[in-house]
Amino acid sequence: MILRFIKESITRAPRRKALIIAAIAMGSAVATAMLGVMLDIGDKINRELRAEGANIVVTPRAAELTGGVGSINASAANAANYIPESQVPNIKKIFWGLNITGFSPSLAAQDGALQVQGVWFQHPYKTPQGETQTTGIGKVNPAWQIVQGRWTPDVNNECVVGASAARRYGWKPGAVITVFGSPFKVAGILSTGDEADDRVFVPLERLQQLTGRPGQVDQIDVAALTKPEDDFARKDPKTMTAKEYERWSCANYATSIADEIEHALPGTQARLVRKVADSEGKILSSVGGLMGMITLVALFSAGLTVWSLTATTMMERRGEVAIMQAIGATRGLVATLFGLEIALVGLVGGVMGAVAGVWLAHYVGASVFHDAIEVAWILPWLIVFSAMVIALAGASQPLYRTLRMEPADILREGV
Amino acid sequence: MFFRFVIRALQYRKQRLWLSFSALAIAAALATVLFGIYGTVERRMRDEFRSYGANVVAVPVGGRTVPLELVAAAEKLGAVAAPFLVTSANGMVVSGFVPAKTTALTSYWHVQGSRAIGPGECLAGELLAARLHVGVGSRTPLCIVKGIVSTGGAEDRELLVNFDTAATLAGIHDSASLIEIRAPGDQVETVRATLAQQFPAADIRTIVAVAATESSVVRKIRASLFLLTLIILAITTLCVTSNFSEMVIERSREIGILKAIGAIERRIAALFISESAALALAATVVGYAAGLFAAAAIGREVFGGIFRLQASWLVFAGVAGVMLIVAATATAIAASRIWTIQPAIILRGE
Repeated sequence: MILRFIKESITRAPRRKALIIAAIAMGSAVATAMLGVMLDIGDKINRELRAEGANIVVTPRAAELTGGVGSINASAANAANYIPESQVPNIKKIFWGLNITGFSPSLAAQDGALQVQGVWFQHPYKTPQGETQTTGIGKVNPAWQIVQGRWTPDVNNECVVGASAARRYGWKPGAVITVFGSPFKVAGILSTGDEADDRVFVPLERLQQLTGRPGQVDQIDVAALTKPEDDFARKDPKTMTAKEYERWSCANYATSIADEIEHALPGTQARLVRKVADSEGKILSSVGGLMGMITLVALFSAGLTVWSLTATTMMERRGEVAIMQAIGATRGLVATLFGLEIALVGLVGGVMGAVAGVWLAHYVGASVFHDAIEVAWILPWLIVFSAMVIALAGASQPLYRTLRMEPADILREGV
Repeated sequence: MFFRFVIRALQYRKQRLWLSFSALAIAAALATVLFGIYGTVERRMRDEFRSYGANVVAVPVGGRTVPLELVAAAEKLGAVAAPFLVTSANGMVVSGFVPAKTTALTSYWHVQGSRAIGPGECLAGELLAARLHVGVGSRTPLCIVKGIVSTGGAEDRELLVNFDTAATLAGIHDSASLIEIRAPGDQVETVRATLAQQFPAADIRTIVAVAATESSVVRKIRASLFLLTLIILAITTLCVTSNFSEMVIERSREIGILKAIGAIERRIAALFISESAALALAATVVGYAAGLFAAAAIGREVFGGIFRLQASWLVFAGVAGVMLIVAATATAIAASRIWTIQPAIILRGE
């Protein structure tokens, strides 16, 4: 009986049903697409912002404890002042290891007027999960451009030179230069606009041999995906209660990641590069806020559209309700019949909309970020559910009012 | 007579119209918010990127300094510029800066104590301060420490003094060792090229990481907003279209009567289109007003600052245009039925 009622209702007015289903589907599609993009865009922008370079710098702690007033102690460069290279991959072992997109250990040295830095170019390492990945200077600074030549693949007698140094000394790719009495072939010229333009980059291992500091690095640049700082993040971990500390270290704030790195690499201190870390926090929170607000507006209007549409339809079908009541249907039965029908319409429209919305979100991701937007699996289900609830809610008020009116009055009105 | 018909038609079906009207007003408000946000998002995002500081830097080519006139030249081009002079004294790296000019470029400095320094006063980098065991208010042979700076960069190991103090220490006049410049995000290359032409003695570089990231992020946010706006508008338009067609179709009986008493089809169609247009215009006005408030609230919530209504005729015209076109097309499509309606059949109740 119920099924027949619904079937009849659809076959009698297929066009009208199609219109409602289409409207619900459109509302659900907008909602799904907006929510999908909004929930993932922060992550996407965060990755884009990693082009700014490292947001955390790790240095040996000993460096800050030596020396005295008014003088730089010669022991500032002594053997105790280093991080063992073998420990560097431990950075990936921290709780937020997966959020660390790259790290680049380096060793600085001065050969006459020339600033030399030993770095990893493309260095393989083992992750705690047992995979082999590569990292290095290019991974941490993706915006750095080689203007001539190419990056070197960690070959012992090749180097990359900064654009200013290259101009000053007239170096071209392919030239052979002498650093610490050892010949290096210039593989490429690097243009960055910052201090790196004045430097010569050589493979780390080679510089360690040349300067007699095997297995040592004096700085690690770390690029991490972090959460924008809020007031809680700025609290001093030392003044927190145990519970607060747990919450703090379980969030991927830049400060808590730095704190974890210090624990993973004893004897070091990890500091935020304020310029990068602070600014990206600001940008991420305003992008998040913007998307959140637009989503809110879109959800609100999608909801209202579905609501008003079902309300209108219900009102137009007052005659049907009156006839059913006139031939003896109870209020409960009428409410059940219409409720089921509307729920079914909401379900069909919601499912169509959710599918279309997921597709639209993917389309936005693919065309803007060249990368898939990940839509959480629960989102389409939530949307379908909300579509049904909103449709029912929209219909309930007019239905309730009609049910309480005298059928005779409605029928005489000749709606 | 024509207008009386339109007005009466609007009055007669109040409740039905009220619902359509609110649906249309919602669509208009949504369009206003989206147009408004899309129009300002680029400028606002670029403002946020200012906190990254300089995107262009001038350093000496051959000698040790760059001329100070470069600061004024950069400012004339609409950029913010601040000179720095790095020298050494007592075995420390001493860096001279102009506090007033530097503030805008270094909003990321975390200063404990006071940021403003006078003659004989200085800021100490965090690492240097730890090494020297000095704090806010301590005296060093050079100056009184007014604040401790933490940046995560080179400043952490430096003593920051007034530019003139550093110039005296170094014995240099009218030049700096480094000039940091923040050019408006979309004019970085122009500013760099102009300055490079004016000052061949300086190496003017674009800081790739800052400039490239800014343009790529701004472009991507604008592009995603554009697509989302398009999707929302397209879907809203479809909903509005069906709403308008529905309004004509459900009045078949009325059309039948009009035809039966001798109205010509064109006249009836004109009637319906004017009705829809009136409704669309009214909905635009209400929706636009609501959208303005929503956009202002979003602007304040997201980007901070004051609650400001930014009425723009362009946005209003855009919204009104979209609504009118949608109303006219939708009604016209539905109105094509007017020609096929047979009064006798409709009125008999089929």
